[in-house]
This record gives sequence, structure tokens and C-alpha cells, in this order.
Amino acid sequence: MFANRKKSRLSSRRLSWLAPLCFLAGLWSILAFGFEIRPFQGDEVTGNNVLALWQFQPGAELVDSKGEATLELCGRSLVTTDSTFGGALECFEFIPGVDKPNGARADRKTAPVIDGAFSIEAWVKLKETPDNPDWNVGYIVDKMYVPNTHERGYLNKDYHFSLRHHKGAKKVSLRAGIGLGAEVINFTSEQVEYAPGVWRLMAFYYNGAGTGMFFVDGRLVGKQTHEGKGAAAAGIQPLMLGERCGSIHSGLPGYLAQVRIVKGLPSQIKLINLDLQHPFQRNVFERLEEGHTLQLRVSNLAEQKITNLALTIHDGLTSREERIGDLPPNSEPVLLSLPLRCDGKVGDYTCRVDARGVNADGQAVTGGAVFDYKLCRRLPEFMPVVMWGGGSIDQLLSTGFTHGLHWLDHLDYAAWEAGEPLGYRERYHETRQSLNQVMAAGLRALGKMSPGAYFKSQPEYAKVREDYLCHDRQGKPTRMVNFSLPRVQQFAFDAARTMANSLKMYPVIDIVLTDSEFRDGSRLSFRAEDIAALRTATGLTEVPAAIEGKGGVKYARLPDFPASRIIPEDHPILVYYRWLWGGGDGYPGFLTQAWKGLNAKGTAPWKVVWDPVVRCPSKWGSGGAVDLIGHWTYVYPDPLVMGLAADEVLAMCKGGPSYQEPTKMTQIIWYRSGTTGPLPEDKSTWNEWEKRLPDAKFITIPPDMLEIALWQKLSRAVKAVMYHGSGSLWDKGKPGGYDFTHPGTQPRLAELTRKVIKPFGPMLLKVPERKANIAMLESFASQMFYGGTTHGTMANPVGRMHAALARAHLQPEIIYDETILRDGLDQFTVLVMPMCAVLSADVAVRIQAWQAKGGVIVADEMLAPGITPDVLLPQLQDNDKDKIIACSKKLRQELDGVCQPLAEADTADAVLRVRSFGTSDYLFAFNDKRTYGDYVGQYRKVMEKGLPLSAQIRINRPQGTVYDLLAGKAVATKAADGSLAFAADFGPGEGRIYLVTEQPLARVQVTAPAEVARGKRGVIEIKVLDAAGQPVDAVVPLQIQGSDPEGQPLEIVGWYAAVAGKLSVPIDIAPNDAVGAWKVQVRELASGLEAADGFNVR
Amino acid sequence: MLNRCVGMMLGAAMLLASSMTPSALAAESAQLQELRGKLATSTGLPRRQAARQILALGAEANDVVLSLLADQDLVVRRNAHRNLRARFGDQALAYYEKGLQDAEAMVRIVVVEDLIAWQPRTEQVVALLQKATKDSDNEVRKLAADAFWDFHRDYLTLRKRPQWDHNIEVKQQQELPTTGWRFMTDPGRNGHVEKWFAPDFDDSAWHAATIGKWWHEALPDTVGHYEGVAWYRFDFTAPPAPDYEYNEAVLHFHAVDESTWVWVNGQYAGELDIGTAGWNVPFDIEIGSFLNWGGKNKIAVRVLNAAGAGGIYKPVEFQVLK
Repeated sequence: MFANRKKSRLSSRRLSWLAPLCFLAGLWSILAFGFEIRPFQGDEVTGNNVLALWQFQPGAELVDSKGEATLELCGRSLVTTDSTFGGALECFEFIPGVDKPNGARADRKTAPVIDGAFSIEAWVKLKETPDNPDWNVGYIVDKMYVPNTHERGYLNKDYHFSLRHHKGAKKVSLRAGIGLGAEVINFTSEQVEYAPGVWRLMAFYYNGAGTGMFFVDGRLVGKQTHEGKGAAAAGIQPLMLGERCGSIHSGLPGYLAQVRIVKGLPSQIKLINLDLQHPFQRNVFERLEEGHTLQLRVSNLAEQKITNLALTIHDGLTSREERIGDLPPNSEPVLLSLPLRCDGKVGDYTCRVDARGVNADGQAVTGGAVFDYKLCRRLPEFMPVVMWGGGSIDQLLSTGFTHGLHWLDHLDYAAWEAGEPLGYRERYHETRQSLNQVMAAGLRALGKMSPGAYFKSQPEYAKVREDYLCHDRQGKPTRMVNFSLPRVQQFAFDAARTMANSLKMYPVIDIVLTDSEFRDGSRLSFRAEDIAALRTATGLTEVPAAIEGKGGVKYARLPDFPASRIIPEDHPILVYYRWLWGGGDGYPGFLTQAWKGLNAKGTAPWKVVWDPVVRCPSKWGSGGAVDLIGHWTYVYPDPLVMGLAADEVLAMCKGGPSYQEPTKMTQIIWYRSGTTGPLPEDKSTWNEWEKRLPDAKFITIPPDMLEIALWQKLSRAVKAVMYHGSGSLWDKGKPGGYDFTHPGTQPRLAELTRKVIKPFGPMLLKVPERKANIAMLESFASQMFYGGTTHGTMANPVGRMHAALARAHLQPEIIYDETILRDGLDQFTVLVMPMCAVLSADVAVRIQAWQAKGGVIVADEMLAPGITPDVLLPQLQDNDKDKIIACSKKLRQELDGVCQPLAEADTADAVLRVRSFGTSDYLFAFNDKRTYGDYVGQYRKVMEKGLPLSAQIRINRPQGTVYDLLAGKAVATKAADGSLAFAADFGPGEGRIYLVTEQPLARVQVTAPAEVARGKRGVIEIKVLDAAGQPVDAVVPLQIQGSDPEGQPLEIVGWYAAVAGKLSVPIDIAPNDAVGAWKVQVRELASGLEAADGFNVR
Repeated sequence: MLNRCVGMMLGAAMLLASSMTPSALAAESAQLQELRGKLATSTGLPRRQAARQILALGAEANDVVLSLLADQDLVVRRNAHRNLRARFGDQALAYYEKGLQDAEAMVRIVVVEDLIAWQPRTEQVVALLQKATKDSDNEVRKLAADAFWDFHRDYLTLRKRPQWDHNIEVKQQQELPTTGWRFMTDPGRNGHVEKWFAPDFDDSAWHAATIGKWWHEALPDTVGHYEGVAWYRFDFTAPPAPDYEYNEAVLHFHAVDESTWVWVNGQYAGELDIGTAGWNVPFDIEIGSFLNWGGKNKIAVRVLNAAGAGGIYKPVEFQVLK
């Protein structure tokens, strides 16, 4: 705060927490204690202590209504009318090229003479759009000219009072100076919110003896003492309002409504100044959060001792007294930590502190402060629906998103410079404000930081980056950063931990995305460090000469390549690429360091996500040690690409740490270049969006494709569904960037989140993947020696084969070479090997051994000659849907009797997938019947328009009850040949979830405790039972409703899942909850069975 | 389905019966006998599995393997061809000529792959490979032709990279003139051996030609409906090097009928060789790596027209991409 502050009771670090004053909290605390936005009145105008007062009233615009210092307007300044104060002086900041001063001037002979203690106070309103937004200093009052000690003594006199603009932080600080004759002593306040368009009362008080204090709206915002100093000396300069006298560079970009110079203290302040804040600027909490305290600062503003100082603290639920004793004048503030109660019921609360004491004259002095805060309900477990992009709270809520993106790249460069993690920083002030709002809205935040991407691209790193680049074979630096270097990896940790240190106290940040997409920059590097690392890890002493790039070599160009195309495990090229993509390029390690910085034990309660994780060859570990890995997918030309990429993420997850989980993202944007063609010359044929946005580069995914994509995500055991491209989801009202071209997409997504994701999300989180009996190998060795890396797309035959398998209602698990080496193939009966042109020896041996035991190999013409296929299907060379369907039929025909799918349909347009829990199956079915529409279909690149579909679906299990979860009822089935068959009609793009249980659901049982005391926990026990009274062997979706005696919904209302037919739901009764009869109703969503119970709260 | 399978079984049984002598049958191991039985009596995957197991047996199975070369099941036939080199050594060549006449390209590809890997590359091997370069299937043809082709560049242009997740902006473009080109047919297909791509190659005896038209339209009297290889050469004056960041400088061919190979200043820059299907496919060739920015550049384009009209019949643009 002040540079020469005396040692206080708190450590300097704790004091730094007090610095970021929350504007809202501060404003509320002041307003609650009688502060008013009003003209000076009564003694404030007429008192003997008033030396000068300018009010800018009509008819007396420039008059000093107390003294004789009539003003004269300068430059562009003028007196305007104001609805609050009647009139105001409009002032102007400096604009380069305009060399005339602005403001208003009073002659030095009429300006007030200062003696002893005095205050300058002014109502100030800064302009919302100043002519020069980069303004630096704006003077309120000046009668000094040179604001620092000058060799000419006559300049070191009188006073000045100004604002300094901290543009980056969007704050201002108050500054003042007192000329003592021989020197000038200066004072600076802490930084306060830059609040343009708002009238604020700004005041500086000088006690005539070295101590200065600043007030904003009656609240102390800074105090500093220059020991042994005296009163201001009278000078010879004129007095200027809104400008520095003798200068043209320091005009105030705003209005001055009333300006007062008085003897003694300014108006509207309490002599006992209380400042009550949360140390990390939180004012929204979840119920029963623990460990929160408020910081209370008690200052004596009187110039005399205050005795018998006592506080009354109302914590929102109870009151208590605390005695301080005596508080001498000019003493350091008393700092207290007050526990913040979060055990109340959901609602708005006020923590209030009243102070009272007695001054030396025996008069009562008082002060007070309040802290308003909100307690939110704790959210039941839910499926995250993440907007990986911007969006207002209203937009997010109305579409059903649970998370919005918050940019957290604030301090990475500072962390780089420091070479170690930084502590708590104020710079996240605005972020903290928005995080409070997000929690209050019942949302969660996806934080985003990109230290790696910034390091490789931001100009401020340009110089240091030169030392950390990849080198080419000749030793010449390239443009790409080498992320394997220790100093660079340390930076990942430092930047991440720095961010955590400033925001870890915000559990509303649920997930942090770090360095999305940055591994695209991976390159070969030949630095000595790289070669040393390679040698240590592999024994190779050099990078094989045949290797020119990260994407692999062509086996056909390699001399003496084995005719079997089965290569030894220690083939140098294979060894090198395994090392490179296994982390030798440094990117996974960088992510791991960032994860450690963000999520190491005791740091922050966040999960860390990275994407796109399969935009690389099929090698485990692409995401390092992060908690969540994901991948985004453009859902065209064939929407089944979503299923491919999702299965690839699942495959990547299998090689990650045990806690690593999959997510999946849909791109709301479509590349126009990939989905349309040149606009027709005849403009009359253009459709609506083409006429409106002829230059659009990114357009909106149409609704049917969006829905088809979602069903594929939900049919996999992902832990979050994500979306990117908010500009194409919500109309931003202007062209450019991501354009909004389809008004039907957002409503469809909103409907899907409401009908599907929210009610069934908890269930989906609990149902695991079904063990597959067919595997599709994405061979790393083949990718490195031949090709076939999908990058999560259907750009080559590998992805198309996956689509054919899906359309055949086979359900492949994607496996890597590593899967075979670690887990073998015994789980599978069929191994599909698209583009598996080259295999490593150990992989080949395992495949051959498995095949010898009866395993069936499906391959294409490029299969390594050392492996003998059982089924051959030519590579699919394009994404023609008819060809893929033909391939799927061939697959079914060839594998008939070998690999029976659990579920199948009579049409390849009904795409199915099954997950299982216990003896229950979850059949996901969606309609992929499409045609060319008039949105982009006229270009014949994408069939984007869904069509209705009727299908016969068969589940190959002899018995069971089938429930259509979205309809909430059982489906009539026909049992024959060991299967259950039923008919299903689908709308365009529509999907369903069918739950198949061994036994029918017979009833729901809810048991609540008879009585729960306020402040205690009760547990609601829920069971979904079969006819024999046994919990069903399924994860059953439930809805819980209920209310307290006042009709308020219970905190626990929402969507749940009864795992193995059972669910326990704790309910924490708040001390201020209503006593009486509480009701709980439960409905299972498979068939609509309901049950209810109640309990008494005392 | 049933009829086809029965037919396959009968065919296989007949083949086996005709090729085996009584003494050979007596010498068969019990395993081979069992597998032959399966081969004769089963269908679909079990039959293929039996055939696969026969291929894993030693010399005792030679006769059966030879019979499998004519099996009606493509997979069995292909796997049997794949087995020849390991089983018969140099004698396998004797079966390859017939293999190159197999009705299925998937079988012929196996033969070509084995021929390419064959060492030493004898005259017989070369002759077989050359025969394969005329194959009706483009993949077979391309595979065989690649054995005689020394120009390779592993470079995926920006527009072809599936993982390129940014809008590609054309920062600069310049259509190459349609006139001023030199042209010559290469019926012997040895222009690349004679370095017709070299900057200092004397093309003064070549025809003056235009692009933007099929060659039978551009040079009706001298070329006509020529099918085969022909070359274009052109002096391209490149603009000064960009003073902005860019990712790639390419020649963007709106289409060439049918296959195309490009050299810039004597250096091989890339190709589009997808057979007849390539006749109307636009494509990029990266040339920025070889370009003399702001100066003269020699562009050489080799074109293969296998059927119908041929040549650079659509515009060619120089583009700088970001």
C-alpha cells in the first residue's frame, strides 16, 4: 500500500491479500453505512471549516460559494448540467498536438490559504470513452506546479491531488503532494477500481504533521506518514481544477461536480474505519465450504485515542461481541480474521460489523462495515457440458452448458522472468469477479492457460526463445521451440503454479485446459541435449539418416527392408520414432509439468485437460499426466468421424495414468472450404446465409449433424462433452471469425441438453464401456513406415474402416501396438488391421500366436506380408457413404458366425453401440439417414439433412426388459432365436438410449430418516427393486424432487443415478432451515415409477 | 451364397484330387490330411483358416499350395501367392507370370510386391515388373512403376494435411501464362532418364505449346489423341520473396489429364499419380523450397495420359499460402 508502511501485525504477504479491494464489497459496505451520492449539504457548505467550494450551479457556474476563488475556464473545458449535482465541470485529458491547457483556474491571490490540517475532496466522474484512452495522470486540484522536490524552493509549496491511471489493471490510484517549502512530500493510495461513468467522492486529508490519508466514497484507501514533517507552505501558483497548473499534459478525462477545500477531515467518513473483505475476493460460496475467513481492518481516523473500542459481529446467523480496547491515533490498523459461515441454507447473507468507542472528549465514535455474500447449493454430480469458448452466463444457461471458458494467461511471462512460481497476484481481479458471478449462476468454469503456446509465439518471449529452439541436422536453429529442454519444462510448472497460487481458492474453476493444440509444432531436433536424451533412453547415438520429418518414412524407399515388412523391435527408425512420439519431443513432459503445477496434491482442486490428443500417431502418452484428455472433431463429411475420434481417445486413455479420463468435443464451426464450393454466379440461387454472409469462412454445424455427433459421444464412456465455436452458435450480430449461419443449431443443442444430457448425465458417468470382442489396430509401426495416422479424421482408409464397422453394428475397440504388447489379444475374436503395412516383430508374433488359436484377421491389401489375413477388404479410398455401407455388409457377411454383435438393426443407417453394467445393457441407437439439403448440400460435399428412419432393432440376448429412457417407458419386444426384437422410428438425427435389464423394474423405495435436527445431516436411501424385492443390477437414472415446509426446493433436487439399483443421498440441514415436515419424491426415468417419503426437521 | 460356397468346395476338391499322386497322399501327415479335408468340406472362414494352416506346413504341402493359386476364394489365392517365395525360393518366379494375370488386383499386387523385393533383380524379374507397369489397375501399375522410378519426395501439401486446423488463406496468386510452353511426347518413357527436367536441357527442338487445352486441341497436327507420357517445360519468373509470414508456395494445378510429375530448377517437387481418376482433380505441388524468388525458374511437368484426352488442360497458378 504505502511504501514506508510500518511493520504491521500481519506478514507482508498477508497484507498483500488486503490490497485487492473488491469494488462491490467495498461499495456495499459504504452504502450500508450511510454513504450517499449527493451534493455537499448543511455544514459541509456553510461550516467555518470550509475554505473553498465550487459547485458549478446554473447562474453561478464558476463561483466559489464559500471563498473568493472564482474560476476561469481554460481550453475546451466547460460547465455542463448534471442530474445529480446540478452542474459539473467537464475536463479533458491531453491529446497529442493540442497544446492548450484545459480545466478551470483561480488566481493565486484568491485561492484558499492552507494552514495545518486540511482536506481536498471532489466528486469525480471519469469518462467512459475518453479521447485518449491511454491517459496517464489526471489532476483534480493543483496548486503546486512541480509535483516533486525542486531545487528552487518557491516551487516546493502548496498541494496537488491527482489520479494515476493503471491501464493494464483497469485501476486508478490517488496521489497527492504537500509542499513544505524545502521539499515536497508525496502520498499514494492503493489502487482502486477504474469505474468510469460513476460519481465517486475522492478525498485527500493531510493532518499538517506528516500524515496523509485517501478516501474513496468515505472508505480509507491509503494512509501514509512522513515522520517529523509539518504543514504545507503557501506558494505563488494559481489554483487549477481538472488540470495541472503550468502544464497541458495532465488533464482529467472526466467531470468534477463539487470540489471542496476544508480545514480538518473530509465529509462522509467514520472515525472508526472498518474494512471487511474476503482475502481472495470471493463473495459467492457453496454451502458447507470450510475454512473461509473475512479480514477485518480497524483503523482510527481520529486524531486522538479511541478507548473502549468494541465490535459487534453479526455473521449472518448469530451475533457476538469482541473488545479491542484502546486504539491510539496514527496507529497501524488492527487486523482480525473473522470466520465466515457457510453452513446456512442457500441464500443471500450479510456479515456486519459495528464498531463503537469513545474519544478523548468522551464522545461516542462509531464505524461499521458489511460483507454481503451468497451461499449456493452444492450441485449433484453431473455430466459436464463445456463451452470451450465464450458466452454470456445467460447464453450458457439457456443452452444447457455447465462450463464456460475463462482465460487465465495473465502471469506466464512474469513467471518466466522470475524463474520460479509467483505467489498470489492481484492481476486476476476481473477474473475473480466473473468467477463469483459464474458460481452464483450455478455454472462452473473451464480455465484456459497456454504457457507453451505463448512461449512459442508471443512477442515478449522473442528474445529468450532464441536459446530454446529446435535445431536442424546441421545445427541451425529452427523457428520451433524445443519443449524438452529442462528450463522450458520448468516454465510449465512455474506458470501453472503461479496461476494456481492466485486462483486455487476458486473451486468454481472445475477444469483447466492447458496449451491446447500446441503439439502440432512438434519437430525433430538435433541439439546436443536431444541426442543425449535419445542415447540415454534408447542407446541410439544418432538420429537415423533416413529420418527427415516427424511423420515417418516410406518403407519402400529403405534399402533391404524385410519382404515380410516385419521389423525387429530394435530397428533404429522404429526406436527413434517411439522415443520421439513417446515424449522425446518434450510436449507430454511439458504438459505433465503444467499438470503438476496446477493439480499436484495440496495445490488446486482442479482437473487438467488437454486436447486434441489424437492429432498424432497412435502412441500412448500424448497428454502426459493430465487428468482429462479430449479431441475436437469437425463433423463432416461423414458424421461417423466422431465415433472414430472418440474411440481413439478411449484408446489413448488406456495407456495413460490410471486416473486419466476421456472427454470429447464437437466443433460447432464448419470450415466453409470443406463443406461448400464457390458461390454460384447467379445470386438468386444463394441461400439465406450466403446472402447475409457471403464472405463467411466458418459456418455453423447444422442441427442434425450436431445431434448425430452428440449421440456418438454419449454412447462412449466419456466424462465430459465439449463444444467449441460460440460465434457460430449464438448470433454475435456482426460478420467475421466464426459466423452464425444456422439458427436451428442452438435450439437443438438446448433441447438435447435438457432432454438427454442433464437427466441421464449422472447415469452415463457410471456406465462403463462394454468389453469388445473385435479390435481395430492402429499400428504405430505402420504409421511410421508407411502411413495411416488418422489424426482423428476419416482422411484415410483407417477411419473409413472404422465407420464400416460401426455401420455393420460391430463395435470395435481401437487398440495400439502397445495394447497388444501389454494386454495381448485374448479378449478379442476378430482383429481388423487397416493400413497395417509394417509391424514390429513382437507385435507380429503376438498376432500370429493369437491367430493360431483361432483369432480372425481382417485386413486390406497393404497388410504386412508376414501376416496372413482371413478376410480381405480393399481400402476405402473415399468417404462415399454407399461404399462404406457396402463394405459394412461385406464385413457382416464375412464374419457371420464369428463375431455376433450384441445389437443389430436391419439398416446401416441405424447406428448402434452398447455399454454394459452388470447384467444390464445400454443400447444407444441413432439415425444417420441423411441426404443433401439446401444448407450446404447443394455443393454435394456433405449430406447434412437428416431424414426419418424406421428400423427393426434386435438385441441378441435371450431375455430382458427393454426401456426407452427418453420416453420413460418399456418397449414392446418380440423374443425369438435368443434375441429381443422391436421396432423403432427415428426423427432426423434422432437418437435413443435403451436400457435392457435382466428383470423388470417393479418399484422404487425411498427411506428418509424420521427426524433430522437443524445443523445435522440425514441420509435419504433410495432403491430401485425388481419384483423379488432385489435391487436391480443396473445404473438407473433418477429424478429427486422435494420441498421444505415453506415450499422451497430442497438442495438435493436434481438428476441422479442409482448404481446397482441403490443410491444414498445425504442432505445437510442448515441451522436456519425451516422446521417442520420436509418432503422427498423420487422418480426413476426408465419407466416412471415413483415413490415419496418425508422427514421432520426440528 | 450357399451355391457359391458349394462350388468353391467342389472346385478345391477337384483340384486336390487331380494334383496328388497315391504315394504323395500316403506321405502326407495326418495334419495335412485333416486340413485338406477341411478345405474340401468347409466354407468361408473355416476353409480359409484351413488353407492358412496348410501354408504354414513344410514341403509336404507344396502341391496343395500350388493348387491354391487357382482357388476360387480370393483370400486363399492371395495368401497362397504370398507364400510362394518362402516356399519355392527362386522357383517361385515361374508362378508369378500367371499370378500377374489373376483377375483380382489384390492378387496381382502381392505378386508385384514380391517381385520388387526380389533380389537380385534379374532380367526375368524386370520383365515381369515392366509388364506390371501396364496393369489395368492403377495401384498395381503405380507399384510396379515405382520400382523403376527414382524421383521421390515425401511432402504433404498444406491443403492435404488432415491435421491442419486453420483456414488456408491465399496471400498471393499469379496465373501462369498459357503460352510460351515447350512440349514433347515421350513414348519411350525415358525422358526422366535423359533428364528432360534439367534446367539446361536443350528443348529448342520441342514444340511450342499452350496449356489450358488438352494436347490434342493445343497441338492437333503434331500430337493428336496421344496416349502416353509427354513433357512440358516453362520459364517462370517468380515474384520477389514475400515479406510476410507464409506457410507454403505452390503451383496449384486446376487439373491435369491424368498423372503429373513436377520438377523445379531440376529438383523433383512432387506428383499427383492416382491413375485415370486424376483427370479432373485439382492439386498443389510445393515449389517454394526450390524457387529462385524474384528470378527465372525452369518448370518441367511430366504428364501421363493413359486414356482419352491428355495434358495440362486447366490453368496453373502460383500461390503463396498462409
